[in-house]
Amino acid sequence: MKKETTLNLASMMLRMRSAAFWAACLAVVVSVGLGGVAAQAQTIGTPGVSGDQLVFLYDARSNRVAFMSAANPSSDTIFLDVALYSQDLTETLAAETVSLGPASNLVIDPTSFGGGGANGNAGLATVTPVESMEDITPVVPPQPIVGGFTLANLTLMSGFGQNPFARFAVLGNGSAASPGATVDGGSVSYQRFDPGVLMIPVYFDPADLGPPENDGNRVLIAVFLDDYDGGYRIIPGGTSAVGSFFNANGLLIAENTTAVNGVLLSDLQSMAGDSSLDGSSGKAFFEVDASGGNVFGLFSQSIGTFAAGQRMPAVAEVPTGTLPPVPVTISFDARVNGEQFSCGRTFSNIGTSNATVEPTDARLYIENVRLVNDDGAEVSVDLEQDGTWQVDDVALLDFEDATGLCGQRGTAETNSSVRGMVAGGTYTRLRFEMGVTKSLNHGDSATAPAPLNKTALFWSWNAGYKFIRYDNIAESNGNEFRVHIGSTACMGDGRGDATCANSNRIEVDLPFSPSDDTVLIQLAAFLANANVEQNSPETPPGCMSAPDDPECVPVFAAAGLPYGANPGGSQQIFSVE
Amino acid sequence: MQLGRTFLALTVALGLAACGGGGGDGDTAMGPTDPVDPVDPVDPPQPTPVVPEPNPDGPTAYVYDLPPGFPEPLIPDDNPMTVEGVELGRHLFYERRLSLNEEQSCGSCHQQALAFTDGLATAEGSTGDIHPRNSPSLTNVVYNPTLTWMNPLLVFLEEQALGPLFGEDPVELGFSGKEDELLERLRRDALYQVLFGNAYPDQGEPITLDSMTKAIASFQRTMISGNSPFDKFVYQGDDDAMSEEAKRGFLAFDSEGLECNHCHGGLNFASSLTHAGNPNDPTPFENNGLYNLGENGEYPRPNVGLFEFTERVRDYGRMKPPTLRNIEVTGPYMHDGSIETLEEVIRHYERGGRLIGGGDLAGDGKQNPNKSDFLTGFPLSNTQRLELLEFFKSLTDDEFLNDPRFSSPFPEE
Repeated sequence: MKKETTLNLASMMLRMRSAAFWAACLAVVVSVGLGGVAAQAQTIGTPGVSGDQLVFLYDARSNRVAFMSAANPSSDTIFLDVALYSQDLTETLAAETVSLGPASNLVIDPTSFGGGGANGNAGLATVTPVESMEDITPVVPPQPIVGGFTLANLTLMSGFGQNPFARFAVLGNGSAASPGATVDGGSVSYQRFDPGVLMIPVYFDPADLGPPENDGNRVLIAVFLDDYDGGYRIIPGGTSAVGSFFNANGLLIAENTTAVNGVLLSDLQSMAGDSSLDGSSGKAFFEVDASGGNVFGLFSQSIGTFAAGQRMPAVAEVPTGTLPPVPVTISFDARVNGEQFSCGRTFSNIGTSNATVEPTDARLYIENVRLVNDDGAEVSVDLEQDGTWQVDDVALLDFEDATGLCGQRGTAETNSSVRGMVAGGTYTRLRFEMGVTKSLNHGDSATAPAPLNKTALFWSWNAGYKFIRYDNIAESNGNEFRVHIGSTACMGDGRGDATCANSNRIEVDLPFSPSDDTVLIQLAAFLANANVEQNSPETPPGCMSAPDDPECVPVFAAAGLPYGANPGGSQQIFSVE
Repeated sequence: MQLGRTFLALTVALGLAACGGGGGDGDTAMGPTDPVDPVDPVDPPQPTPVVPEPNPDGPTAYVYDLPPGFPEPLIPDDNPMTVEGVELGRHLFYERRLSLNEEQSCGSCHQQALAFTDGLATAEGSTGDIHPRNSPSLTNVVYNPTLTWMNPLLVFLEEQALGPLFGEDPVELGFSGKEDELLERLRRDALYQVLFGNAYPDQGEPITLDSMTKAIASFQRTMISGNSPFDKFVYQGDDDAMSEEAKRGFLAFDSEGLECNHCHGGLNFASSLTHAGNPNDPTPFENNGLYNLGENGEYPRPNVGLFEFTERVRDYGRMKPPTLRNIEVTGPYMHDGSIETLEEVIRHYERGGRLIGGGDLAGDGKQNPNKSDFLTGFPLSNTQRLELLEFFKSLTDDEFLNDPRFSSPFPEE
């Protein structure tokens, strides 16, 4: 007995040390906002290898087998309630209470255990020490139980083994519960697996490993809640895993969010979403909110008969990183009353008089192009410096081709897209301004680089550029109606330092997918409330942004820009198709 | 002689100082001009354009031969004055191919004999568009801190040149969107290949918009008028250069009774004078009571004045008071050429604003709320009015109006 007592004392000390260790770990691992110290003390990041309860991931689907084992290192007989749950954790597929003598071992084969109800399934298994064969109230065992598992793929004839996901029963203040204590979820409860961030310390090029169906770069993540009411069981938890994938050089190469309901059986490439991981090796991070329950993860890799896997450790945080830039093209399409804009033809039903007009020009500058990612963050598009259409962060869109009346000032070349590089990611919105960046707008236009060297877009009277020129001639009476918008009420010298009271840049913010969407420029919208067949005497033809020009009132309103007493509103010109 | 030269000179110097000037001191200006041979105004020499030799030594610095009393001009660092640049600019200034239809050059609206104006109320562009404003004189334009009638943004002649070349409302020279054609015309011409190459030798392609506008600006910066009878009397020691009537006219002009000198003061008889010793002279823009429309003292569109740029109601009708040098030959007067003769101009200021009795422009300019405080009106006798006119005529610099350096290098067509 003396010997047993000594052993028990030693194991107690081990347990105490373990609890203290995990408590210290938690201070780093657990994210803020979990509440008081006691609550923190009951959560652990990385699961233990021994404890008062073991949890396993099993996979007994077709051509796969799993073996789990639980060992009782104590000198007492203990009783274990073993339950195998379905993948969504809503069903108990097999359950059995077994007794385990001193220094004995239990092997659990999910294909046959408890009547074989779990055969063909994958999910979670729990091994919970209980009071007796009849009373399955969870209790703290005399010594922490240990175990292991093996997951095997019969197609590949490969497999790997690992420690179980073990945890202790603790008091509210985080200290270890005494052997024999009832784990009721109140004064004594199991630690919660709450890593915050799970890490895959290393993965290898998915292209070189087995395909996902052969468990290449296999990822399993489980989310569950502890339910102590009416005897212990686990119930499903729903959350999502936000994955960040870094290559061997530490560069972020993919970001993606995956839903997790119960047990997620996936693979690395699926978790990375649209960004291909092929050709890379590195590490991955999954930020998972346990939502008051438990999260753990398993990662394995296999090449033929060789396989290796591990429980994913917890880390404090996802390293910061930006995805490497990828090429992006933002396409624009100029429309007039739903029809494609082109020179050398007429358009009907323009403006309040339903006039027929022939265009003489359609060019506009775009600046400060940004995409908004799924986190809501703006990411600048770094424009290709092509020496023709794009310079700095300004691009010229040119829809006229010098045919028809556009030949008067136009150019044969056209441009309907903005091209550049953007940090990789998932983008949901597009933002830009119609205009020329202030630092470039008031430079010396005689020496300005393309596309700021087009004299038809010089705005010399205001020491800047026309941000847009969309000009038409009415067929009925030859009235010329121009839409020239640029910054006005400027002070400065036209050599770089002008400031303008009326910026007149149109701010555009649109839902947008770079790969699928096109930005429509509804040119006729500028004219929708204007009469293009007339012009107020002694004012510029149409609207050239001068103050007190009646023709500018509807044009600026359509642009959403303030003009005179009108404070401006939402722009009617740009939309997405 | 009732009025001593020293007294007049002192008055002028004071006027200059009052307008923020400095450096108008004859002692510090470059040496006095040698007596200039009289130039026959009827038959000015017309040099034949010849393709000059390429100059391997690079451009030669242009040295101003300033009239006595004139301060050193302020030249932008990025466009130093060179003999070759000025020569190129003179060719470009008179080059009709600088209009798309080859009908006009800069010199069409800025004719030397009229002190680089055109004798029209408002200018006419190469395609027949009527400009809303009167062609401003280029006399001493190098001393203007801002250019044109009412644009505070146009500070550099290089920048200003882009307006006539590429402006569309109205069309002047008509090259909007046609810059390639403009440059091609010049690049195909052996004369310009050499002129540009000599003026801007260190560039791969010397014929650019930049070098074009720089050269035209350089030429304009040589257009200095300082040898009028007034100058000869005040600065050059010729007691007889000005008539007694003109001298009395000047004293009246410069008096607190008439207040003319507040807006037309100093060496250049303008509202401001910028030069190397006074680089940041502000440009006052003033409303001189020509019109009074609406409640805010507006001027008829599109010549709304400084308001166009500031959108401040008090800036309706404010224009830059121009130089009065060579004013005898620059009529019709005012920004819109709405006053035909100098005598009418004087009567306008006598009244302190113009009364328009009927029509769209009806209104009393004298009551314009934005009108300059100095423009209160004054009584003038017929004699005084004639003396004032004589003074204005004493500002006519025949040497400037006939100087072959400012004339067209091309033969008469």
